[in-house]
Amino acid sequence: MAAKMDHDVLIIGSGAGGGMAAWALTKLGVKCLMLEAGPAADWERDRKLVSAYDLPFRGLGKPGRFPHVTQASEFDANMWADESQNPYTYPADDPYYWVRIRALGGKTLRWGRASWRLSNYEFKGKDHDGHGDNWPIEYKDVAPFYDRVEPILHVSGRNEGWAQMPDGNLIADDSRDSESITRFKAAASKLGVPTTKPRRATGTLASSTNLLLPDALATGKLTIVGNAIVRELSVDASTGLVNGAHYVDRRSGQEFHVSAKRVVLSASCLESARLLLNSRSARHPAGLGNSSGVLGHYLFDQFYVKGTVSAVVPEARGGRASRTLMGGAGYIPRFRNLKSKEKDFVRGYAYDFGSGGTPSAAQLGLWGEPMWKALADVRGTGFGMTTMGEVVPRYENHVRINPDVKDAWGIPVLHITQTYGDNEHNMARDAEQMAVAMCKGAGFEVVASHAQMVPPGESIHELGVCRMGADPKKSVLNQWNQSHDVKNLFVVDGSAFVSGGSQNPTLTLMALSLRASEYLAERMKRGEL
Amino acid sequence: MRRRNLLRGAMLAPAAVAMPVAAAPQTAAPATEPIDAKIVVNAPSLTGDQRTTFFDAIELAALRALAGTLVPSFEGRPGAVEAGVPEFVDFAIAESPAARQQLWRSGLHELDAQSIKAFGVRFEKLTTDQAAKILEPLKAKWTFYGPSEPFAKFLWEARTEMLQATLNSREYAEANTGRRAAAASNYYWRSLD
Repeated sequence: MAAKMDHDVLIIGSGAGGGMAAWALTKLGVKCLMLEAGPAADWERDRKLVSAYDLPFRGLGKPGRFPHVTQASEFDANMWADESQNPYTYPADDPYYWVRIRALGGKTLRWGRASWRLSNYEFKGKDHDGHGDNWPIEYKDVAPFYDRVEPILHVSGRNEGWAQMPDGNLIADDSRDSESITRFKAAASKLGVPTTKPRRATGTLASSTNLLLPDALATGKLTIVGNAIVRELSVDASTGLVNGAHYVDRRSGQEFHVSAKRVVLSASCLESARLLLNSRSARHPAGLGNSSGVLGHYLFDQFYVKGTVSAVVPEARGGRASRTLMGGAGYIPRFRNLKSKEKDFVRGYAYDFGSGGTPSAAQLGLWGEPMWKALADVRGTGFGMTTMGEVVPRYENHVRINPDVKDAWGIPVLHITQTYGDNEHNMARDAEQMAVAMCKGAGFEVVASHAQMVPPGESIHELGVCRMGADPKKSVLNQWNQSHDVKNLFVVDGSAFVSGGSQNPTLTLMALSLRASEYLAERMKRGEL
Repeated sequence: MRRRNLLRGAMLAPAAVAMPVAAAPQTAAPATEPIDAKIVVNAPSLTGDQRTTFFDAIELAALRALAGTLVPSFEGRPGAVEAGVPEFVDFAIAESPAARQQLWRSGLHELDAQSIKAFGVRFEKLTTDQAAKILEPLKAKWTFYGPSEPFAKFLWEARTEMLQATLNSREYAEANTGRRAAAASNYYWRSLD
């Protein structure tokens, strides 16, 4: 039997936040133990190139296997968390799509890589328009950490000098736009809408498993334990501080406990809240670090309207979709309500846009031979846009423990309640109208447009249930991602967010994890933690 | 070895860092044997005729007719029937949740019922123009979530499923050899255990 190991910090979770914490802490000489709920994927042993027809369901996937993971295909089905083993509940009329990966690296194995900074329109949103809450930090507090995370991710993009889209430490994207993208950008500009290049992490994987964990392991200061599902955090009854974690071997079901002097929690936004809510004790009867009663509340994400508009570039019809005319992508940052309240909603939305797809048979309204002919005619002529809208956090959107349902390891699951309100719906309608106007202005034929959001959670940008704040009575964490109640507990995933704008959150949560980890190491050095 | 694969060797089992609550019996690691990668083993679908198991004979006749109407063969490439889509759909629906099974079964019944009401014969006996009348709901304006009315929902799902199953078939891929469109292929992930 292995002897109990000695370590300075226990890190729970190996994705963007946990991987960043391990990277930062071990470089500063801190000895870390990392618990990961899933196994490690071996990219050479665990995957093989196959044709769809060699799969049982021709690539369409086993019906009903992933009712809430629209991103799953038959090819990658084994990557996603099995919902039968990892259930959760939600109100009957308000489905929540919780998308999870339980493997080393977490969702960084499958993320979209979009890497936008937040600005003071988010950090100090309440100061700007009176809605929501401010963060206890501002842009200048995080900017130095963005500067350091972007090179790790090899983020490419274009600096534009816009206040709502702060410039970054980027690999300059000076690529030429196709004619269709150029036309679209000109049409957007006429309507006062800014456009830019995508800003994304580059490289073959861009994951915690190739960019963060190898460097941490190379220090000799990191030990990773896989298949360790943390059931609850344990607490010293006399001090109220966290002193370890109870966990289950995913495969055998054996129960373990590991001691810890300090814990960095990054199990993913909702899993972290679940773990804290399941960690009740005499000192923390409402869950660990929940004296405010806010833990689990203010759940939000970004609403997505996928395929807000599908258009055809007419000059590309009939097999003329050349690379000069078609191809490429871009981004439109928030442009609404920046200087004054312009519309029947607060805050704003962003778009991704791309050139070169093909409209679907359903969008064309055809079948039979006319369908085949039309599909051949419009192949590669498509221009599409997707809306990502800001969701203002509300207390009533929340998670709680459902004691009546347990996962495959006997751990009580989450009950998740999130709905979108009038503000989001009004924003989505405005986004549709603007998208159509821009496409028509570019001379494109609009085949379909809509303002129907995907269900909450489906954007995989869940945020906010352990929110930061200056007031311990109204927040769970302080400005350093540190629990107000439990000083040796830090939470460094998306659950710490106070607001999220319309920007993809991974870059920001990594910057915050780096910032919090270095703060923790400094306090340890001073003997304060 | 790639950098990220170093991680696999670096990761410990749960028992390595803490004492278990109760000791488990030790088991020997299974012996590994060499694998001859040169042996080609084909999928069961490559030979033999698939037996249908879910739909009855009348339903299957409607399903085949619908497949042939929605996704016919075209310019030398196979349509849904030639690509074995009716048999595939029978299998896929048999493996589906009960609500989807009900949607497809009642959809096929409705297809025949509307055909008999309008033209006095089942769907499989309709002319192309007559079938077009029954399939009118497919012309409705596209919406993200599709129609909610069950028959229209069935038809929309059938069009999407049958077209994609055709495009992803071995038959279509072989007919397309050398052409622009190729069969979908990607990395398949085995179970990570």
